[in-house]
Amino acid sequence: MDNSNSVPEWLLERNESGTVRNFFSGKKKKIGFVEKTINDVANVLKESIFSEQVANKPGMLQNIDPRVKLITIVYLLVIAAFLRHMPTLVGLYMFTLIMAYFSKVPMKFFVKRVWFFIPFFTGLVVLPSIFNIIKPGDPLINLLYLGRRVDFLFIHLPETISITKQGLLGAGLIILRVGVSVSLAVLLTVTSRWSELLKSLRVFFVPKIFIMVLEMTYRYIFLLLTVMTDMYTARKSRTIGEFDAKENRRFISTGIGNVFGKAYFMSEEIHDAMISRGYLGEAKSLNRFRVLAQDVVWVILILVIGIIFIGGDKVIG
Amino acid sequence: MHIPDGFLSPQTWGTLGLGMIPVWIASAIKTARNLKIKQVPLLSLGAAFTFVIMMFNIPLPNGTTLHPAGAALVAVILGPWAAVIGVTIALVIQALFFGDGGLMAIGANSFNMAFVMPFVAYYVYRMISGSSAVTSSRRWIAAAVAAYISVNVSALLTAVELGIQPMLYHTADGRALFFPYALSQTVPAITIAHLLFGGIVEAVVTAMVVIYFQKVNQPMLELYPHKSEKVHVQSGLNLKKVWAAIGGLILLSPLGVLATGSVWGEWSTEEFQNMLGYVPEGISKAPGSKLNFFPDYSVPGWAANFTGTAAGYILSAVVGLLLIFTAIYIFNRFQTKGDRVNG
Repeated sequence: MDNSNSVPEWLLERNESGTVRNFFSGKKKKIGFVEKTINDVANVLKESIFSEQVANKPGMLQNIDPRVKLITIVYLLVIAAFLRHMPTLVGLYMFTLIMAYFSKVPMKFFVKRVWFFIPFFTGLVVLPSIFNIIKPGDPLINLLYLGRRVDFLFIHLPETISITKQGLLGAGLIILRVGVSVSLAVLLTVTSRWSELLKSLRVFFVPKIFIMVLEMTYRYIFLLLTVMTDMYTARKSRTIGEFDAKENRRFISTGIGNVFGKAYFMSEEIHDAMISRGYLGEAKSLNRFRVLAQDVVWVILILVIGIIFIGGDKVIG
Repeated sequence: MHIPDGFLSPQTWGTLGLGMIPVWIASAIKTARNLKIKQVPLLSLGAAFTFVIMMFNIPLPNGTTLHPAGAALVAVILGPWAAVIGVTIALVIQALFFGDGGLMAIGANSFNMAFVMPFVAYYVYRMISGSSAVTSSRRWIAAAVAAYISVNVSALLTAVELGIQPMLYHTADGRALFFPYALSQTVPAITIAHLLFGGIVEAVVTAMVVIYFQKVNQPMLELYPHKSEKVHVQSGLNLKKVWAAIGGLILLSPLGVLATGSVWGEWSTEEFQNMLGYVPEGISKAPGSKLNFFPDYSVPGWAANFTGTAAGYILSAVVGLLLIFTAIYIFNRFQTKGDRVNG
């Protein structure tokens, strides 16, 4: 791997939101909203830098025409949504791993991003559904025998609390499907440069004006985020001790108002700048995509793979 | 409130996505007419601002933080149509680049947060603020109420979309294919969280930004509606009376609900099914899943507690009425638009 222009590892480490590690004791402690906001903004910047870096590597998906890539990934997402059995979803996940490998997406990042960060939330949400407290089903593992039904306010407990077969399979299915969907989305964004990705939305008949707004939005997000971090850093560096909640609320709301005021003022200036450079309301795009032979092969491959997975799913039941 | 991919069945996100297409087209036409050539930078910065709002963490008393959704604030400042575009774009960028919300679920997320939320917020804001002066305290109160109500309507829709999944799609042996919890679980879980926390955070932030503008930057509160559009407001004067009547009925109806508590369940179910259109078939087929808004309220022990029951009814009534109110408003809005074109 070419390290010359890569971002150092420590910069790409994701801070757990809301906590900071003490340098000496290694203990975690809660941080205030100012630091948390600065960290969150930094994480957004980190992620976009990292993703541009992968997009610039010479890999398999990077070489596919962005429009073709977008359509095929969406096709696979639809396939994933229709699969109803765990083995086929596992198969599809394996396929995303293969794609990631050939696209030179760092495997550690790819697996970690999907299975440690995003479905952590899903897993937590789905967890209660495996017990027969939430939904009756065939018991698989009995956990606790209560002797009689309990009905108290919201709580209804069956005689025996157990993990049900239906609950477990349903939860597994959801977690897998979310994992596959997130993997596909990560593959798409990490292997595409954002300007190309946004332009390729044209294939879904997204009007040019929307795409232009999208592109400008993406740019200005970073500008506004910088304005915001500057504001927060300025406050943090001038603060000793703590403010009360009222002052904090005032700071946040004036902050939001200030960012909007700046954004509005900027939009007028940008408008004037565009007019003075000859903008007449019609956007022209520089990227000229071309569909090559490899793209055709790719489309056929993905089509066949999709049909195999749907077919396999039907065969299972 | 960002629904990830894999939670909703393709039928659900497909339907909501298709339903959003006319809204997106309408918003493009609307903003193009109102903002002319300036729309591109203004909308871009509006959308970027919507994205950035979600980065502002609000400290909560328990030490955690929450971030506002921002759709209400954008709707109040830039108007509902620009908010549709702004929030949609923010959602697209979140889904594409930051894995927040699913790609396939963009239609559903847009429906909840980029369509229903700004419209509810905007009309509640207009109704309460009326023709009051920019510096009037009615303005920020209106903004707070608008934010609170719109977040809760949006959260309720999210809960309903998730909650209908197990009824519509499961295997023969009762295994969930998509989101596993039923309406009776998702609706209280999500709405209560937003009634207690999310809504209040949104209301406080929105109101305080409006207060800030009132003090420092008043023109920001006069960006929408545009001067030329005020003609429409006047021509729709007869409609105002209709709205007053409906508003009055809505205010009165909880009283009726309280007086005849037993009717509530039936009424809600019917209304609910009418609202969703495609639900009844699935519900009648699904075994043992009789649609009941808050089934827990009929539990022995809970029902005996009068205040508990009353609170439950009021909660359900407010939530249900808001849902209907929104649908009627949106429906009416489209109708009056048609009239205007014809007339």
